[in-house]
Order: sequence, then structure tokens, then C-alpha cells
Amino acid sequence: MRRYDEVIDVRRGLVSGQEAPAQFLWRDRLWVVRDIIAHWVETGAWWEQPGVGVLFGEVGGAEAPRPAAASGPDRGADLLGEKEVWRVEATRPRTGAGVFDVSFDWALGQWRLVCCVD
Amino acid sequence: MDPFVHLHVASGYSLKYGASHPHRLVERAAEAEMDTLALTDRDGVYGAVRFVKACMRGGIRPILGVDLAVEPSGLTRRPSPARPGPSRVAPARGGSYRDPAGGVLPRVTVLAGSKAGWAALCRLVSATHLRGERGVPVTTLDLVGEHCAGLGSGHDLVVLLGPSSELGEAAALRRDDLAGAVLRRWREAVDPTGLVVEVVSHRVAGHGPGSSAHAARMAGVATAAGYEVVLTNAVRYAGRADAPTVDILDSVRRLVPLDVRHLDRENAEGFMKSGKEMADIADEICRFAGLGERAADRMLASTRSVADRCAVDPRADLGLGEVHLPELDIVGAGRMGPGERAAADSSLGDAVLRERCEAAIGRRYRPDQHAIAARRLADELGVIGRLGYSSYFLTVADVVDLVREMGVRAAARGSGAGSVVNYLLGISGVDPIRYGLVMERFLSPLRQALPDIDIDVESARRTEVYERILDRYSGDRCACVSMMDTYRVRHAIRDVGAALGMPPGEIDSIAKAFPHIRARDARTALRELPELRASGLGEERLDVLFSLVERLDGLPRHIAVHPCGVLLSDATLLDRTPVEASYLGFPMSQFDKDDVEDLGLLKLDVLGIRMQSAMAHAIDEVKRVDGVEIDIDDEDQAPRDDPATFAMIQAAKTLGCFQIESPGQRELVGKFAPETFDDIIIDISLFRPGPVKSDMVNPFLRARQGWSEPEYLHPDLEPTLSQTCGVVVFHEQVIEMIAVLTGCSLAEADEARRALGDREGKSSIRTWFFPRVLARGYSTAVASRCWEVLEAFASFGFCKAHAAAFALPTYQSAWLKAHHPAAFLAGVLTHDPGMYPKRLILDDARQFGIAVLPLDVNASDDVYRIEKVGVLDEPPPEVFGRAPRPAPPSGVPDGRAYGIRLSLADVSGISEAEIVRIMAARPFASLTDLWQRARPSRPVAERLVLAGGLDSIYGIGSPVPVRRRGTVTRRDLLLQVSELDRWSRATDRAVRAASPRRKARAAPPTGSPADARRFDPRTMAAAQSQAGLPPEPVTAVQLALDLDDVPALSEPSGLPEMSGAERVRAELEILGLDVSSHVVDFYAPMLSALDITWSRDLLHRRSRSELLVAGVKVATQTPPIRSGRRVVFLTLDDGTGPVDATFFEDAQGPYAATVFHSWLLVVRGELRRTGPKGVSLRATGCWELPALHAIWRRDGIAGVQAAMAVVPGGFGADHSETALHAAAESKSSRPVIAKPPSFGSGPAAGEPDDEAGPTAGGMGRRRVLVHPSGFKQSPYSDIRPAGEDPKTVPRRLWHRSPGSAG
Repeated sequence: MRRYDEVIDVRRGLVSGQEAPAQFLWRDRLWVVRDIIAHWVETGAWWEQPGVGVLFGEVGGAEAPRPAAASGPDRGADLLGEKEVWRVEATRPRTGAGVFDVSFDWALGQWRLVCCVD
Repeated sequence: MDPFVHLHVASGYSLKYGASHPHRLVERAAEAEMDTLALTDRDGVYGAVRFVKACMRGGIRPILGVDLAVEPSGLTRRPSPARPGPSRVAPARGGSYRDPAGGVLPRVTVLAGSKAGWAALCRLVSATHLRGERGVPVTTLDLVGEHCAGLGSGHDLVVLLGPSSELGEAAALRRDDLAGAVLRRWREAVDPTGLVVEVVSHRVAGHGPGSSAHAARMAGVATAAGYEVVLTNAVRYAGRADAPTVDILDSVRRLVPLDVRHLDRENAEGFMKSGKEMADIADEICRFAGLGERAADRMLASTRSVADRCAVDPRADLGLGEVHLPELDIVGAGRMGPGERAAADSSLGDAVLRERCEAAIGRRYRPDQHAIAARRLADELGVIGRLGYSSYFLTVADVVDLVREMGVRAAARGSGAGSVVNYLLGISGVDPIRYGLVMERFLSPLRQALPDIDIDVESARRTEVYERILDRYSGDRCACVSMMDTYRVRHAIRDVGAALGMPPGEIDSIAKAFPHIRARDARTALRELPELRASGLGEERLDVLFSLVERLDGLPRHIAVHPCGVLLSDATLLDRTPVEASYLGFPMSQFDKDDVEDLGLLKLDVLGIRMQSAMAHAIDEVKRVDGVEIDIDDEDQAPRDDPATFAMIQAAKTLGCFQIESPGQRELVGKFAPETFDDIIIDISLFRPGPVKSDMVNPFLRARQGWSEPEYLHPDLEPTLSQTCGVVVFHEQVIEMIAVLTGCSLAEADEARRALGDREGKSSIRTWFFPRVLARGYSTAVASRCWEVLEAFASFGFCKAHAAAFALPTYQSAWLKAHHPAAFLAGVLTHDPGMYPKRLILDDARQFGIAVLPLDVNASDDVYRIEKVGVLDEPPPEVFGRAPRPAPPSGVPDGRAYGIRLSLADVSGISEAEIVRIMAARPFASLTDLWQRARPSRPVAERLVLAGGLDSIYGIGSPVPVRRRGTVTRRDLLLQVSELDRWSRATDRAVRAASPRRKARAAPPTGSPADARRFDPRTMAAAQSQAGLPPEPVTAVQLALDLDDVPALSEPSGLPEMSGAERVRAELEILGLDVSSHVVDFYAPMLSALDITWSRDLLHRRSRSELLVAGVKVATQTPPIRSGRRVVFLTLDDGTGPVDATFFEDAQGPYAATVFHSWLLVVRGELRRTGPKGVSLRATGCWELPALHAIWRRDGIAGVQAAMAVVPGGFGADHSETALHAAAESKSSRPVIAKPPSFGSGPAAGEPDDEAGPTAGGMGRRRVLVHPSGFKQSPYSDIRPAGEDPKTVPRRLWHRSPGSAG
């Protein structure tokens, strides 16, 4: 299994009856999703974020990247850092197939390719 | 409408597990257009009543259930090895896994579907809590089965086996055979129609619980075995954004810092999803399970049908709003014949009550009053009979009789004093006819609510009283009321800080910086309170901390027994409330005081009042020493017009007296100079938030002191208002005014008075009031003036009956202080009833000429005792360098014939058992003797020596440092303690080696359901008590056998005796009291150089002069005042008496932190004369005395003055009035917060952008609570201020400056 953390472009669509990423563009190459192997939601360790780290003075106040919305009651949302992950089998013409974990970050609205399983 | 129903929902009442309040969950369900919602909290139904009420408001059908841990069967996991030894008493911080042995226990959810089901559920919860260990409720399959038996088919109780049950564990192991076995086990115990499989998918990764794969496997097994399958979301928080709160709670519950491996949640899916989102989940699960097309619809349909089966009706099923009083034969059993008992019904109750009251008239009233009393009694009995409350009164009377039979002092408090029935039954000691109290304020035929009678008993014997009541009513009818301790700011900071792994020291200092406000106001307080900003808490880096702190606001964190509530009901009590054991082993309802009222259970408040204990102690001491028995309840012995008592009150020497000892009250009695018992009632009523808020005090005092004529609105009102010089003070006066002016009955008038409390009520009463008043011939001018007064005063007056009930112990305590000052102060010192530290009370005793006798192991007891001493020291010989005892000034009782002996109980760290041994084994001839027979621990022995407890044995007394050679000093004794300790350890080792180890304490009964004992909550709760065992009785108090090897006192070492300063330091550290001289004395040289004004000289200084005072902080208060600003009242004690200083907002910025967090203070201020005997200081500055002292030692007086001239920077003194009128216009009946305009650019969202007045420094952004009457109040008034409680910390008073050799 190889780990990546790269931003990709995704086109959503129906894959075997569910709404899922149908195609994605990774390193300028288009992959088409054939099947969905698993689908889950995960959260990061929000207490390890830089915004929390400054509590201990670990990160210098000035250079610490501020989370998107720094204050107010909505603070909780960006503490969540929820990601929806699809493990998909995707193919590319002439190259063959691969199994990828594709994740969607709800706070940033960003798709990433997290790992290549196979 | 959304047909989906959440059947598994944990609210915040699942302690430290759920993150949302029940009402929030209900709101969320209503938003999603759901019509039904369940609440299934962990381990109890603590939130049930609140939830049901929220549901009734939101138009949602409630379902009630409970989520219980179950003992594992061993099918799905290896049986956990029994933990060796008893469980730990103290929780282990720092990594020790706090979940029960063998990991997390399996859990099931049980739903109640009917009245019978609810009763069974309550009993199941009680039985679960009362078996096993307190606080670790674990049920068993048998117990669940037992409670399901006897019910109809699966409609009454429904058992849900979810992913955390053993079925879920089997599925996680992917063992369908085990899953089948688990199902078979449950089917044998529970009716199969009441057994339902619950699947949950939070869409986590993998195959474990919470994943769709796991849910699919469970659904597959259940469908194959023919069980209904329901879908839930195991909700722990209302909205997705609340998920981090749950992480905090998980780590708080386990006492570990946040880390992935400690948390239950893997994503934020466990919130209240909408029906559509849940349908998606159902689809996913059924697709994984391969159950076919319609399976998801079937799953949702069964969820709906289980919900329909289980929805309960709040009135019919839960009995909300019903009244359940104890059976009459229990209440009056001793007084009725067996024949009558059979016919116990309400008319019999009325008859018994009438008979008892009529019999008492002759005892309570003079013959010429009988007719009036009988008429009033007939009226009241009529009302009581119509409302059907006879049994209530008989119950309360029965309890009061029980208490009195025990020889415990008891007094009623509250509006109940207005009822002649209460007076005749002996419940109250105040005659309502004599003091003009009306019954309608207490009990009205127009109101159905149960009246409220509170009984004050001696605090020291409160648990005894509880035992007695429980004995009488048994655990089936009687339980304590519980109290949910919820997160406020300090706890929230501590818990969040610990979860985030912040350094403990930093957490502690942040938490202590806050006053005791609500957690949700944390950041608002940071903006508003200058001392918090000054300490750097406003920094942005702490923003995450405070945002998390605010999320914990109001979440329940701990259940404890309510300090006074006792539930009394009939034998069906346990069908309506589950009980668990309190810390002391009393059965305790899971509902709090508001809940039990909604449930119609009779709640009697039995309050432990320390003053009652103090008075009982004083009476005992007088009897012991003087051989005189006094009965302060007897008006012949303690007449209510005693001149000596009033002379003392007028001189404001009221420290230690009930209700009239606070700085404000001493100022008020100084001005008011009460002369009669009625005056005390008025005095107590005036010093209440209401009268202070509506400024009744000054007009009254002016009229009272004859500076202005009393004004009456109309001659008809004079009889009512003459007692208070024309000023409306009492609720009773408002009631009577309305009745006189409109001609309505008193009961109607009381309804009108209550309605005046809110805005809508006010306008409707207005339209009712004017026509009736005008029709009775009053002029429009009179009517409108009366209306103005009523409008302003109605909601703020004080109930006279309440004040009269308070006035009785107030007067009694003052009488005792005036006639037996030493005994009374000994009682106050023993039971510590007041607001001041003991050292101030001791100082007060000195001012009465009472000798303060030092600690002495041969004379001191576990309480403060009085001893007769010679008055001969007048003028006193200076024995042992002690200060002479001057005669007290006139008007103040003379206590010189007595001394107060300090108590052993105040020696820090001494145990009850050590005190018992010391008292049993004395007299002691030497330290060795004490060591061998009383067996104190080494630190306690050392402290006894240092505090002078052995001085009398060795003739140590004079603090003169150079003494005759060869005399023993405290330092010699200290050396000997260490020798004795070494010797004892050596001999102990030898003895232990020779004899076998003693057997451990017998194991407590396990209370397993196997033994066919009757379920008795009383004994089962008592078995779970966690209170310490009482000290073993001292059996052998043998004389010391003087063995040769005991180290005797060797040659005195020649070490010098402790100096006076060292002694005071030791006394403060060990006893918390400065016995031999006052702490401030040691600063005297500097203070006189600074030209400090002492308390005793304040009265002679000119008003408005600027001066300096100094002393030990004895009290800080932030009471409500009319302007709505925060005011800090500070009381210092300088050894000559108390000094009161007031910090207004302008002085708070630079100095508030010093006021709240330091103990020895110098205050600069301007003198204000407040009355003939009252002065107060308007403070303009405040400094720490030890810090100034250090400067003085270094730089001399000039340096000190220079230091005091510098004003701490960073605080403007500019204020602005903010947009208050908008809040005042608000239609709400509750106080509204008026927000000041925000700082910076543009108006923030949600804030009114009109009147963007200037704000600056100081208290710039100040919120104000605006009451409906227009009264403004600071949100920081009436809450405990920041810093530590001045009562608790005198042990730290000693300054740590170099040079005080030690």
C-alpha cells in the first residue's frame, strides 16, 4: 500500500446504484471508478490541530496557521475535520485497474487521494 | 412529517457521556418534523421529567427508556479474572483504565411502554443500582427477566439488543453461532415479543460496531431468527458540531488526556439525523446484508411500530401532575384506633387534623384570644379540606414531632409561618395572629400547588433525623431528593484543561481567576471583568479552551443528595421514581427537586441549620457549667422584648448572630436600631435583594428616625402600612392593599400580586384594578398613585411570614449572645454557622472580655467548651505576657467570667479517632504518656506540641526567649516526638513479625437477587454507604506501663523557646486561628508609620476624610445594587474590630485582583458616615500588606508611599451608559441581558446597532440584567466572587517574609 496526500479533481456520479465519485483526475490522468469496495467517515485528532497547539505555546502565535473560521459558535465544525472516504476500484484505459482511497474533506470541500491499496 | 423515530438517544443526563440537554434534542426532533422521540439515558432516568416536559411543549410524544450495563455471560468474551482485593477508593489519575475490569461491559436498552412498564422500569433501575457497588450499576439478565415477568406481552417493556450488547459482540467476532446463543439466552428471560434487535451504523471503517458491515451482520442474524430489527443512531449529541464535546466527556470520564485510543467516537455521525439520512443508512445496511429490496422499508416500519407501542402519555402513564401523599394510617397510626384506621379516607383526615388543632388552642392562646383563633382555624381548615391536603399537614406535623422527640431543635421556615394550623400543630413557632401574617400567601384555595413547608433542624444531627424519618416511613415511601451538579465555569475549565493536557498549575490559576459564573459566560466575563483581562486570560491562544468550556455549560456532571429534600409518599413511591444509594447510604431518588414536584411527590425540606446546632451547643454548655437549664423557645425565660438583647443589636455587636451578622446588616441595624421583635422582622425583610433593589430602605429609615413624616396613600391603608411607616415592605401588605382597595378576597388579592410579577400579568391586573377601585369611591389620583406603588413593589417585597420565621432564630441567637456570650460563641465556633472565619469570631469573643484559653490536651474536647475563669484580672496582671482583658464597653454583654477553650477538632489533620482516644485516655502526665495511650500520628503529635497543646503539662508558657537553664521548651518536645516515633516503629515491626496478619474487614453483602430477600431500598442503600466507619470505641484506656525502653524526655537541649511571632505562625498553620496575638500586630510598626486608622477609631474620624486601613480579609461580597453595576464589599479585621470597604467600578480595574486573591490588605478610601453608629469606606486603592512590608524593610516608609502612588496601568476609568432601554422595553417576564455595543468595526450580527455609545477601558463592555420592573442588576452580583473563600484559608495568612526566623 502506498500513501499519498494529493489534491485531485473528482466528478461525482452513480456507481452501482450509489452516489459516489465516478471519475477522478490524478496526476493529469483520468481514472474511472468501476466499483465501490467500502465507504466510511472518519475524523482527525482535532486536538492536534495547530489552533489547539498554541494553547501550550508549542507553535509561535504569529506563524500558526489560523483555522478557517477562528471564532464564534461554529468553531466546532472546523474542529471536526470530518472526511468521507471511498475505497474504490478504478481503471484507466490501457493501464489496468487499481484500488484507491479517495477522501472528501467537508470543511475544505476538497478531494484528496489518500492511498493506493493495490 | 418525518415518520422516523430515534429510539436510542443519550442526553447530558447520561453523566459525562451525552453532550446535549434533553430540551435541545426535543427541539432538534421538532425541527426535523418528527412526532416521537425517545430518551434512553445511561444508568438512569435522571432527565426523564425534563425531557417529558420539553416534549409536551414541543408537541412530541415521549418514549422513556434506560441504557443499562449487563453482566457478561461469558459467551462472547473470556470471563474477566476477579479483581484481587477491594476496589480502589480513590480514582487513579494518569492512565489507569477507568472502565470496569474486563473492558467495557455489554449494554442493553430497555424501553417502557405503559404505566405498568414505567413502574417496572423504575424498579429495575433501582434494583440495578442497589446491587453491587455504589456508582457502578450493572444489571443482570435475571434481573431484567424478573422485572419483565408479570407484565403483559411485549408492550410494557421492550428490550433492545444493540451493537454494544453481547449480540453485537458476537457479530463483531463474526460468530453467528454465538449470536444465536445470546438470543436464546435472552428469549428464555424476556417475552420474545418484547425482544428487539437494534442495528446502528455510524459508517465507520472496518467490521466492528458502528460499521455498516457490523450492522448488516446483526440484521442478518436477527432476521433469520425471526426477530424484529429496528434502526437507531445511538445518538449522543444533537448536532454534528457537538461531536468534540463528546470527546472531552469521554476523556473526562476516563480521566485521561485526549487521544484516539481513549475515545469512543470515530467520526461525527452519532447525532440526531433526519429520517432521510437514516433511510440512506438503512439502505446501505440492507444492501450489505443482502436482505433484498424491501428489507430497508421493513426495518424502518418496525422502528416506527416499536415507537408507537412505546410512546407514553405523560399524565396517564407517568402520573405527571398527580398528588401522592402518605397513607393516613402511617401518618396518624399512633393516634388512631384500629377501627378508624380501616376507614382512612380524606374526611377522616380532616377530622383528625381538626381535633389536633382544636386541642392545641388552649395551649397556644390566652382564653380571650380563643374566639379569634377558632375563627381563623375554621377558615384555614375549610381551605385545607377543600384542597384535600389534610394528610399533608398531618405528615409534616408527624415529622416535626419525630424530630422533637429526638431532642433536636426544629423550626419551620418560609411562608408556612402564616398558617395558624402550622402554629397549632407545633410546626411553626410564630403566632400568625399576633404578627399579622396571612394564610393566603402560603395556601390559597385558588391554587392547586402543594404548599411548601421547610423545617430547620440542627445541622449536626441532620443525618440522625433522616434515619428516624426513614425508619418511620420505610424505604418504600421515603427517599432523599437528588441534585444534579452541573458544569459551571470553574469545573469546565478544569476538565477541559485536563483533557487537553494543559499543565495542572496553569489550569488551576485560570479556574480560580473566575467568579462562580455559568460556563457559557466564560468569554463574556473575559471581556467584562478587568481583572481577568489584566491577567492575560483574554489572549487569543486560549480561545479554543474557552470555546470548549462554553460547550460544557450546564451539562450534568455528578449526582449528589440534595442538602435538604426528603420525599414522602405512599407505598407506590418506587413505581414512580428509581432510587440509588447516596454517598452516606441513604436511598436517593433519581429526580431532583423540580422533577419531584412535577411528579406530585410530597417533598419536605428538612434543612440542617448550623445556627440551630450552635444554639443547642450553647444551651448545653450553660447547663454543664452553670447548671441552669434554659429554654429559648419559652417566652417567659427569653421574653421577646428583652432590653439587653436589643441594646446589643443596636450597638451592631451582632457577629455570629443568625441573619444579622453580614457587613450590610450590621450597617443596617446600626441605622435602624430595632426595638421590638416586629422591628427584627422588618429588618430582615429590608435586607433582601427585593427591597434593596426597589429602594424601600431609605424612605423607611427616614420615616422611622423621624426625619420625615410617614406618608400614607390613603387613610384606609394606614392600618396595613403603619407597621412600616407607610412604606410597602411585605407581600402581605401588597395583598391587603389590593384587598382593601378593590374589595376582593385575600386569596384573589394574592393571585393579583403574583400576576404583577410579569409584564402581561401586570397589564391584565391593571384593567381589572382601576374600575374596581374607582367603583369603590376612591379618587383617580389615589388609584393611580396606589397602582404605581403596587407595580413597583409587588414583585420585590418580601414575604412577612418568611421573615417572621427567620426572625425567631435571629432573636434567639441574639438573646443567647447577650446573656451567655461565651457559651453562644463557643457554639458558633464549634458549628461555624456564619459567613466569617473562626478567627474573627474569636476576636469578637476577646472584645466581650471573654478569655481565650489555649489548646490543651488535658482540657480541650472535640468541641469548643466554656470554662469559668476568675474576673480578678481587672486590672489584670500581665501573666505570661498575655494581653489584659479590658471590660467591654457599655451596652455590650460582659463575658469576663468565662473563657472559651479551643477545640482539638481544629488541629489540622487530626482524625476523629485520635480525638476520641485523647479524650478517653486523659489526663496525661507527659508526652510519652500521650504518645502511648492516645496513639496520635506523628504529624498530629507534632502539631499538638507546636500549637501549645502540651504547654500546661510542662509549664511552658512565657514567650520570653531567654529562660532559666534546663527548662523544657516546645522544641525539646518536638525532638522527643521524633524519638518516640522511631521507637514505636521499631517495636511495631517486632510485634508484627511475631503475630500473624489480621484478617481483612468482612466483605459487604453482595445483594445478589439469588437470595430471596425482600427488596428493601433502605438496607440495600445503607450497605452501599461510602462514608467512613465510625471510630472504634476506646475499650482499653490502660495507664502507661512504664517500660524501661520507652524514650523518656532526655536532658533539655537548651534550644530557645519559640518567639511570639513563631507561635502565632504555628497557630495559624495548625489551628487556622491566631490565638496568642493578632496577625496584624506584627505589621504594627509599619502600619503606624503609614498612619493607619484602626477599626475602633473609625467612628471618630471626620466624614469624607481620606484614610488608610489595614487588616485580614474576612469577607468579600458582590451583592446586587440598584444601578446594575458590580460592587465589591470587602470586610477586613484589624484586631480592633471589622472595617467595611466598598469598591465601585472605578476602583475595581486596577485593584480587583488584589481584593479577590490576597489575604492581608491595606486599603485607601474615603470615609462615609452611614448612620449614628455606622461608617464605611469608599475604597480608592488596595495593596497587599506583606508586599508593602517587604518594601518597607528595604526602602523605608518613603518607598512604601512611592509604591502606593503608582496606579496599575491598563485600565481606563471611563464609563458609558449603554443601550438599556431596549432591554427594558422587552416583553419578557424574565430579566433580559442588555448588550452593550461591541468594539471595533461595524455592529456584530445580532446586536442592535443603535446607540453605539463610546466604550472604553474599565468595565466598557458591560452587560446588565434588566428586570421587568426596570431594575438593573449586574450579572456578577449574588455569585461567589473569584479567588478562594475567605472562610477557608486563614492557615495561609502568615507572611513569608525573610527575617521571621523559624
